[in-house]
Amino acid sequence: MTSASSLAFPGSRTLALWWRQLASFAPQTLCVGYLFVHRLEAPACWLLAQPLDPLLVLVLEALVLDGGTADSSPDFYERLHHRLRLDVPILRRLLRSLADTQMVEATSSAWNITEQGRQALQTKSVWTRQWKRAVFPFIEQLDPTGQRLTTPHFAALLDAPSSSWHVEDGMAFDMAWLQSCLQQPPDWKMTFQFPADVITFPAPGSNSWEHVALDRSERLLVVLCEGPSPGHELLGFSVRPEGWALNTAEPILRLPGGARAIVRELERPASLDLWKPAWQSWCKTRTVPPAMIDDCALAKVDERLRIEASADLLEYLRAGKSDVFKGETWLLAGDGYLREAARLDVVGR
Amino acid sequence: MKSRERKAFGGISATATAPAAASVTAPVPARSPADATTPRVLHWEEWFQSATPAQRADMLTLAARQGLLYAFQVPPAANGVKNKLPVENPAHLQPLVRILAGETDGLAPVCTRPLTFIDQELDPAQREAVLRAMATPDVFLLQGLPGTGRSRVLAEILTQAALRGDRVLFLTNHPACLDSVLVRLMRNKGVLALRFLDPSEAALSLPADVLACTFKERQRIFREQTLQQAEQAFTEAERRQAQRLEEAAYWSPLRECAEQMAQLQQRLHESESRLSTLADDVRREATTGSAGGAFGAQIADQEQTHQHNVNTLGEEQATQAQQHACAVKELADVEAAMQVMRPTAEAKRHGRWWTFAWWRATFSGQVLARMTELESRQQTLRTTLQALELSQKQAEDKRKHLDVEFAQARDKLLDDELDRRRQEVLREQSSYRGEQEKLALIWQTQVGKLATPDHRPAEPTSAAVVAAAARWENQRRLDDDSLLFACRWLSYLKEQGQHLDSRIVAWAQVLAGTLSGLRQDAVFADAARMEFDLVVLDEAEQFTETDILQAARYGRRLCLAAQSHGPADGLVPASKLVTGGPQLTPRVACFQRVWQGLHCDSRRLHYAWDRENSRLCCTLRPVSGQERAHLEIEHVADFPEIELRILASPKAPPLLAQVVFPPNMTVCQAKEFIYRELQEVAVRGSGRGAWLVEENDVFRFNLGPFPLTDTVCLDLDTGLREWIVPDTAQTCRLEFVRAAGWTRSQVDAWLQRHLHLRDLGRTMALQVPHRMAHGLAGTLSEVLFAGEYLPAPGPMGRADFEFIAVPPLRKDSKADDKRKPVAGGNGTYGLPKEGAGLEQDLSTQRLADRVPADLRAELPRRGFANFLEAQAVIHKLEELVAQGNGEPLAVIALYEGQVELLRRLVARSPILRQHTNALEIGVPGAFQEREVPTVLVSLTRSHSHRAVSFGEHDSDLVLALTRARKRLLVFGDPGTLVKRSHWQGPLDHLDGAAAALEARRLTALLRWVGNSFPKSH
Repeated sequence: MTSASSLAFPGSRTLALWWRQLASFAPQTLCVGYLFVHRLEAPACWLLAQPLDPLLVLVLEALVLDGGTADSSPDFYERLHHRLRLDVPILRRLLRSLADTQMVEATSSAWNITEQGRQALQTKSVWTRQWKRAVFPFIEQLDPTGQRLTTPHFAALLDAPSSSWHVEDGMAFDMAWLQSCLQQPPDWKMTFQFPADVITFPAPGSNSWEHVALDRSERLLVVLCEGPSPGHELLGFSVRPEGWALNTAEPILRLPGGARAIVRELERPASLDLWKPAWQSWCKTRTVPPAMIDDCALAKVDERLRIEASADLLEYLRAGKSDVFKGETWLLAGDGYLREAARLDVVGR
Repeated sequence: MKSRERKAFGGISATATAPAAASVTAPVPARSPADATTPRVLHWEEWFQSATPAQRADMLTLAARQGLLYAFQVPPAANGVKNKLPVENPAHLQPLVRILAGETDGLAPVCTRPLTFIDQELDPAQREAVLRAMATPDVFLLQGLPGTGRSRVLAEILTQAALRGDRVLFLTNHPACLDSVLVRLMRNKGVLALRFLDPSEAALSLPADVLACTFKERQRIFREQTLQQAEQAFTEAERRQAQRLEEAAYWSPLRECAEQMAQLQQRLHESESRLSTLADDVRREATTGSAGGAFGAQIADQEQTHQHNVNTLGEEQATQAQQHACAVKELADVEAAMQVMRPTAEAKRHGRWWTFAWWRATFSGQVLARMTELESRQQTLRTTLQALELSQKQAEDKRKHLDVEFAQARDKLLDDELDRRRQEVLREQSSYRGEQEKLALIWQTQVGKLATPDHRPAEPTSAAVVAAAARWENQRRLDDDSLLFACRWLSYLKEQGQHLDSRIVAWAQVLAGTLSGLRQDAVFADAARMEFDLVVLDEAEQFTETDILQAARYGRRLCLAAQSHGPADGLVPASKLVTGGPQLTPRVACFQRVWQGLHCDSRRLHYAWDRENSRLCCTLRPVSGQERAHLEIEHVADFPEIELRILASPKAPPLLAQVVFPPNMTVCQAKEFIYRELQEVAVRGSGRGAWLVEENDVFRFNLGPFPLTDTVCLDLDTGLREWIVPDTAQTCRLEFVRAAGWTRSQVDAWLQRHLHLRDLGRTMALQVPHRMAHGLAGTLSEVLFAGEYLPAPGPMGRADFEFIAVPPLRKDSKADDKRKPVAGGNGTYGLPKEGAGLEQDLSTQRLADRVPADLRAELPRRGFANFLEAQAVIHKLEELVAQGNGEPLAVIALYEGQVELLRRLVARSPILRQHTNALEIGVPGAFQEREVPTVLVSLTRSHSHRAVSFGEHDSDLVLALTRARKRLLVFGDPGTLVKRSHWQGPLDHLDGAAAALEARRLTALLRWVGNSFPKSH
């Protein structure tokens, strides 16, 4: 697996550009890097509300008009025929189809409208089970060396330009993780946008070709940012690697603030211990004397890395015509796959 | 982009994802448009469709091992062509595939469940067939000889399945077979059947009742009737609602009327009550003085007068009492004074001077005078007292008199008052009643305005009105809802009517059509895509294994019905099968193979019971003529009279082949001996099937199609009984009593061990002719079916089967050696060796044409005609018409040419011209699935020197000969039949098997002709 250190990250100007592009989303923090995603294409059984056939609605109404419960004697069919003017065999078929969807119960002597039938009559829809294939994205949480920190987490991540990721042995996806999502409480499903109408997955060990799950594992370059309070919504945007083009038309990830845990870098912002090397590195590329670098005090305020610098350093940077005073110099902290970004704000002490 | 940034992406293939394919649902919304330009992403279903079988297998193996597949592991689909997804045999098809492959060992027997039969006239075998078809989880096979009720059983199966809610696909090869079943099916209004046309059919050619169930006709009827009826229903609902609106105004008057009537009734009650207490009231008023008015004044006046009188009298009485008291006191005083004076006075009066009293009187002076005065006074007082007492008594009497007078006057007054008041109440009551009558009239009028009797109040009371109004209100609400519903229903039909009628296909319980129709009719094919609960294939003997498997895919269960052609079925492949019209296509006899694998055929039992002189002989193993030479006889040690015949063939172990019993042993004793000593059940059934029926108390293994009479029961073992006909040693059934511990599996095992039979409950053979007259059926059974027709027990009657030889048989014919009859035995006519050569091949022109030129021109250019035979038929027809029993007649000729010739001759016959309505002429195919009371069959063929086949199709002969219900007359050239019977190889269009079957049947016919000709000719 490609280590984080060997991957390319955007430079300061790109980050500044992205920050401006994201202005409409009022971001509070910025995080840039790579997400390793298992896009699991798997068959699932969905409980879907289908519009009830108007004819069946009318049959149910006719049943209700006749009292809801009626004996299945010839008189019953005669009454129903009188109301609907449909032949008895047709009525039998229609009742049978209603019985197939549990909207009426056929006992030996009666047709009873079930509670489900009454609900269907009110909503004009019926719940049906359908098997359909769907894509279930799971995001990996990795350390900078590519080791899995915890089990992948489901998150509704839209399709985006990506690179294929050849999953190695230690990173195999366990189908039980998908199954376990079904057991999660509704709040969890709502938070991570796991489809609540999925009711089951094929049992493990099924041999049918239709039950095969396909993991389209991929590596995504993304920009993650935290929205304004209240809510601190977590937004993710895809980046087309060619030209570092940020797609701000639509976030590929939009989760409530409580879902930040799936991105460790947002959950636990980089400490000054991580920012200091980044600052030092930035200074070194500008040949700032080490004494001046060490003399600075760092503080992280919102998206900014506030540097309280000595007058000498300020003079030095001004002499070098640094962009830092335009407020468009950005740094990335850490060496992981996802890195927090901060705008340099150099002020005098 | 900086160079470092560019470099980072150099080594990674960027395969941007595309939007999810339509078949894959993303739990999140579809992707942004930018992705539309990106390469296609791998989708499993698409890949699988385009992959080679090897790739598929590899990936499935990998997926099974890993639990899933990774996209990078999936190779590009090798063939790249999108194929149909693999159609795996559905699970329900697996047993059938195994059965078709001959694997029946693992099959569990079918357990039937009781049914209420719609057709009550089904015989036991037919009922069992229906039960089995309804209960089978996979396949059921029905085989029946012509006229044994196959169509009837199929109609019952279809009806039962449809009424159970199943969807059934009914397929045949010929439309006529469809119609014979559908006509029965349509008698049940609870079944919606759709008949699809065969490509060779035109809708207008169908009978009216069959036409009514064609898809288009059903659609038309549905469209027209449903909408029309919905409009009627809407109008009716509107009318009812208007009625209710009108009725709403009636309730207020009814309520008022009821209230008034209640009030009147109350008043009447009060009046009655007053009347009953009137006397008491008057008296009470008089007594208490509470009466008012004139009556009160009178009472008071009377009271006052009476009181005055009483008072006056009282005063008098008081005075008298006072006087009386004074007198009494004075009298007492006088008497006391007299008492005191009396001694003195007495002494003086009597001069008793010596007494002190005398002296005292003397000295007192005037004692006597005083005494006298006192006595006088006493007397006066007493008189006065008496007078006073009298006066007192008179006063008392007067007082009483006054009281009596007063009471009488009072009573009179009260009576007068009572009478007055009563009159007053009665007048009041009369007035009330008058009012009541008026209200009752109003009530009746108002109530009569309520249209529904149930809504009318039961009685003119408020409570009844309230209850009736509540009922009416409910009905009104219901009518409102009904109107609303009728309106919605009508709107729905108007909006959706065009689409709705196309759903009839989905609603129909039975879809019926021919196999070719299913292949060519797009609507039928579409309809058949929906899964059926049952697929019924009639004429299954004409379908290949592929056809049957294809048909089985349509449904979960399969019922195959085939017409049996006699004893050849089940023994050799029937290679004479026809499909789709006149073309003859030999097919693989799939049905027969499956039948043999599943059917419990009692003909496999080789036991035979015969009489050798007077001794009963039981054959345990068939012994051929050659083997008889190797039979060795031994006697049973314990029973020397019993003879054992052991087959000791060379190079074979000895086998016990026959057991011969002494004359005095009965069949029952013999059977008991065989079971006891040999553990064999030497049963001999009738027919070609045996079936096991589970009943409440017994398992019944029937060995014949109907229960026999005059049977005796033989106890073979614990709970095992054999019912036999003693005269023929025929076994009717075996019974296994549940109470003795027999279970189904034990019975199956026993039958397999002892009889080598196993009834899987998936087949049924029909052998009892139902439509045909008893005698005719018996004859045809011998001629056509080698005794396999099993007419129900009963008098056989006269065999109405007549053979009319054309040319007639002659006793002697020296002039024509070829036509010289073969010597017959017992004075019967012999049969000629060769044909008379009367037939005319219509495809050739001959100089010596046997058909008159004017007729010849009207005949078809192919086939055969036989003018002399046609004339004989016409002659016979005229005879029959002259006899005039009015029953329909049918003439069946084996060739179209002969049919046309007969039609022309009928048209020329003055007698027959008038009876064309009751006369039908056609080839055998035209009479498929139909019977006529009297049938004349013109065999037509009369070749001069060679053997010829009979009929365009190999089934024509059997079809023609089995169409009569009561009487069958066969016209033919006996010489041609003799020639044909001698030829055993393939002939014309007949292959070896079909030719042999025809030869065997014609030989049987000739045998019958030889035996019966003198009687019938």
